[in-house]
Amino acid sequence: MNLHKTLWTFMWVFLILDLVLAVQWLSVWHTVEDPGSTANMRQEIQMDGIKTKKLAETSPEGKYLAARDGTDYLRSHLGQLKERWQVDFDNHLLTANPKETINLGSSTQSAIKIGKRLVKQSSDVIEGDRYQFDQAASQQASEGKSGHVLVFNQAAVGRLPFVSSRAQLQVICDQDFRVIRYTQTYVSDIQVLRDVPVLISEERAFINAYQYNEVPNNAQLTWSKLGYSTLMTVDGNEIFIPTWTFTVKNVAGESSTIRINALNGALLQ
Amino acid sequence: MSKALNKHRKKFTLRKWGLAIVVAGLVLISLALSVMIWLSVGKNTGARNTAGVKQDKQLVSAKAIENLYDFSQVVMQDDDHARAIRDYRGLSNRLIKRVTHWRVRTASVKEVSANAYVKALEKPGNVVLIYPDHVAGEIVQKRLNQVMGLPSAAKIDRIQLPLKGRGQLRLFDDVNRKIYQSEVIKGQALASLMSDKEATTPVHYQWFAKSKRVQTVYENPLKMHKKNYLINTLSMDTVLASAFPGRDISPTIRENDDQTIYTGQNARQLIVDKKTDAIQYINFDHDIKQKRLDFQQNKAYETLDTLQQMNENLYYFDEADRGQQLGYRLYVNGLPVFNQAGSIGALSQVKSTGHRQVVTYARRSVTVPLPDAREGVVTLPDSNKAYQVLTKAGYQKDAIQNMTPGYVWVDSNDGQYASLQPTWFIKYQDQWATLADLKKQGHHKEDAK
Repeated sequence: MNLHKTLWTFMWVFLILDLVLAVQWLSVWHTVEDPGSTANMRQEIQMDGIKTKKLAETSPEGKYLAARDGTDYLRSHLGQLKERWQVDFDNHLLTANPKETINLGSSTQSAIKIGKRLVKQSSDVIEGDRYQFDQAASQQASEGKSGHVLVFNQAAVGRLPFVSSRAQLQVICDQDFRVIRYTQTYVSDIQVLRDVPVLISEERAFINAYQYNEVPNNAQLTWSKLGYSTLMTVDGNEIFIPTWTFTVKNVAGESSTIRINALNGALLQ
Repeated sequence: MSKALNKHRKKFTLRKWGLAIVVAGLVLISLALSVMIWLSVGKNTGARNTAGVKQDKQLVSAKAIENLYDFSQVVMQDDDHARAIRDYRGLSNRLIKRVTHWRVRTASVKEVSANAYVKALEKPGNVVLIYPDHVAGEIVQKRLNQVMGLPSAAKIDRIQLPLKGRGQLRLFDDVNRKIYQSEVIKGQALASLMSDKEATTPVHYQWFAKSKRVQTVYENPLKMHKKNYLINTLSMDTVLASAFPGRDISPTIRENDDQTIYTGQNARQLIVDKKTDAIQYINFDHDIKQKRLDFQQNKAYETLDTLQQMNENLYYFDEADRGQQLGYRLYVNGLPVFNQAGSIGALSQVKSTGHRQVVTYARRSVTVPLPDAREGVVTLPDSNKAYQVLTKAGYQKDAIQNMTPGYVWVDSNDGQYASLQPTWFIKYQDQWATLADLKKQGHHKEDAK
């Protein structure tokens, strides 16, 4: 074999290899300088096989909100609902069962379209126009079920909705998109307690979730949302804080939800 | 002939062996890079596995340094008068966000008289962002995302931004009466960020010779709401874990009637006041070579973060002794809170002298506001009326070092809530007191000289 040709081949191979190794070394070297940096955490997340979309690095604004339980309000407005609903209350939860068949179409898209229209009808849902459809929450709620669930979150203040079971509407359908029932919780007398000009960014929040060991290896981030969730109840008032909510799917296809306090990055149980 | 032969031989040798040498070199480089990568990854893993609460759950601080050293006032300069914005934090963030995309030239600096200094501040068509006290040039440039050639340790008290997005961007240093001026080459206008619905109050500037600073004088009485907040108390476990990080370090404990003293093996000591829950953390191994404002402010930020004091509503408040003494307070509705740990002057404070760093802070804080339909409204007198109260009580106006509206923390009977009562706070002889307290103390000797 021609030694000269062999040496040329080796030269190109090792040249390319050295370039690859040099790039690798530069990226590892930078992360060692500051193990806690965002860049390093991003890399660790990647190295653990966790897949995410491009996470926002900007810091949004938010507020502390207070609201009262709206069950009494719902009870006092039951008269506006059509006869076709059988309504019961269990604590804060209103459950409405249809006395007749209500069909939301034959596909998920039609169910969403007709479902949104149904919710906005004041004769079918009290204060329905205050609720916004949540695609990702609906997908998650429908997982593992034979039927379908449409999730609507009550609008809070500004662009952020509530992401709390205390201010939510769920339309539960069977596999043929016939409404089985809907459940509703509602909060009233929403009050802004104070503004918070700087919340942690989506990326920061997800990194914190990762550092809390809440994100399994090789998981995929399926959705994320910033909204208001319950911090505590004080003197009959629910206190709501901005919260980042993430849903991750593990390798077995199981989804889990992680909530991070958008004010201080703490994990919310 | 022999020279030509030698040259030819060398050429022949190089041609024969040169390629082999290059390949050998590349092989050695690849081996070296592989070893370096292996060592670096090992170091990285080692750092992650290092014992310590902070490393295990190293939540990067929710607050960037620029947000700790944040503004305490925003003043709009119209053609004929100035207005302070009541709810300024969100607005100041939006303004700065836009300014970070401006292109500006390197700043020039000039020293001016007190009159000229105040006149420069009053230039119409600008908005002025005011710090509570000096902030290091390095931190200011970071906030503005601009490289303006500002000295890292420059003391900046206020930033003046042209509303049209062109003209001069100015940075003001009160104590030296220096103005750093930088031309805006390209910038988006700021006026669209200002809303007519913003609540404002008319103000003007006044130079105080004794304290060498510009005071913002409120021309109208201030209507402020009393506020109720839930008291949050840091657990002693968290306090101890952050003061004595690492699983192997357990402090010795000594008690007397008033204090519990924890002494760690890592040259740290923690003294907890049993009555007020105020904490004094002493680092005997503190070494900061440069006694400059930028170093001190950076170091203090790291310390507060380590001690888990970086509450979302904790902000820089004041500075003394070239940054060796830095104060931080909780802010509510953009105004500072006093009496957090039982005394008006109590606050989070970082004091660095020689090899000792002493941090005084409180276990208790307020972050969660409570809804209260019965919150009362308090009307504070305007600045001049407040000065009149003081001068009638025998104080010289020029002896007043600083004055700010703020809140006094008053515990509820059950200790679960804090009622925040609005009032004027006056800095006199390096101590803060309420207007009412100073008035009660009565006639004092004039000490303006």
